[in-house]
Amino acid sequence: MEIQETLWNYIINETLGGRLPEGFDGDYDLIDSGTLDSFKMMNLIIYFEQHYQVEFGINDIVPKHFKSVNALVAFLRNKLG
Amino acid sequence: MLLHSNPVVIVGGGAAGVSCALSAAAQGMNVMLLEKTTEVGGTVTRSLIHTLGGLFDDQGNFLNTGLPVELTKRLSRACPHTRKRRIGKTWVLDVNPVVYTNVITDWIKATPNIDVSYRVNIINVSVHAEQIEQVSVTCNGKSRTLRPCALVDTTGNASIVRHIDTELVANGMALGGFIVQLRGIASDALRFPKGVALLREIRKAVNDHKLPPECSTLWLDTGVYPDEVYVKFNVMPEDYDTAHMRCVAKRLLNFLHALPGFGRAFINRHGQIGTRDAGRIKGEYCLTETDIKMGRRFADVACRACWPIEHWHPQKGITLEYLPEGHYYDIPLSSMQVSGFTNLWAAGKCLSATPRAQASARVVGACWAMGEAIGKNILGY
Repeated sequence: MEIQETLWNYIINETLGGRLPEGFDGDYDLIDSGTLDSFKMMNLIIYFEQHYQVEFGINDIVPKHFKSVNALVAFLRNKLG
Repeated sequence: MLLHSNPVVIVGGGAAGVSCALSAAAQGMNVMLLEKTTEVGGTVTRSLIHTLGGLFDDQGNFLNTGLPVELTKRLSRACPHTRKRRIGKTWVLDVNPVVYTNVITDWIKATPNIDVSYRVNIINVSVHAEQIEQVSVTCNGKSRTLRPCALVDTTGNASIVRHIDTELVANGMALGGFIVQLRGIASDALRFPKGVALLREIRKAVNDHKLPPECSTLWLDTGVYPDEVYVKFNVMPEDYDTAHMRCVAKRLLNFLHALPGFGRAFINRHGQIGTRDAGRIKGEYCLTETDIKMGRRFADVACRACWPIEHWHPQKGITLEYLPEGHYYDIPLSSMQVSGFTNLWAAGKCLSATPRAQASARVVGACWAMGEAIGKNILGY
């Protein structure tokens, strides 16, 4: 499955619990809205590490990579080469 | 015959017990607050709880009026570092546990009609015709028999109700917390999402056997002071060993020393094991996960709550389920009245609820509101 599709599915089902906030799109701010708190970010990292056999280093876990779905897709594509 | 002039006996000086005492005293009742340790404050005091959840809704407004609001004001007046903070979609009050203890100790002392006894053991509770008749206690080696108009179990583990009938208590179903306070840390070392990155490093170190397995589910959080971090280990209370966990904390500290911002970190205080669910009573009503998710309203509402379902499952670890935006639910008085009794109550963590409902309703702010509601309604319900 394409990274973008996998990520959307994960964010919608796991992070948002199937409830989309008003105005949710690829640029929706996941951090300022409180959508991606520490627990949910940790779960997302673990999921992608296991799913794509990658490791998130201390320099990967920074706000700009997690700010929105689009930012995450770009970061993951870059990470996976 | 039990008279209203008889004292209200409250066992357990944690959040629910203290608020129940303050509330009942404000109604003009004589209150006896019995505490097994040497100080009030309960889990916040003993286990170093530094973030009080359940005081605010998801917009940061107070969920309940009355004592939770007064508590917040007093804590803010007592310490300039007390502050409201957003975590994810919730709002908490950051406090210094020592300040919290001092504030409520002084508050109780200054309130007429509250008699606090420390180092109290409950020896026997006698029941007649669905009523508590007598409570026998020892205090500093001396025996006393009390004839309460009502008995409130705010022990956190329903130990008084258990004393009466073990069948009236469902066993706890959650991991407990062992908290260590670190100081000497760079002020932005946990600034979101740096804390997540640190946790990832810690979990990798556990997988590489550089840290003990107890570190695999720990959590890090900021404190009220810029150089302060709290480490929360999650363990089953029955497996907890103080000496062992202190060794684990020391090994973690040595590991953290090599990470950014932690070079000068030191352990300032250890808490005692804190239980999140050490038993829930069987009440006239049992609060359910459906009640919480549907935002159910009750005619006998005691207070409002909206904390996420934060369940620390013994095997699966933590799951955090937020409630919808702007959502809250009622906690009914009937979930705090012990089934089959007219003058026996249990408030706080040991209310009558399913494990996942309790995982939302157990937080400190809700415990304060529950205790206050019982104090107001104890004789008129």
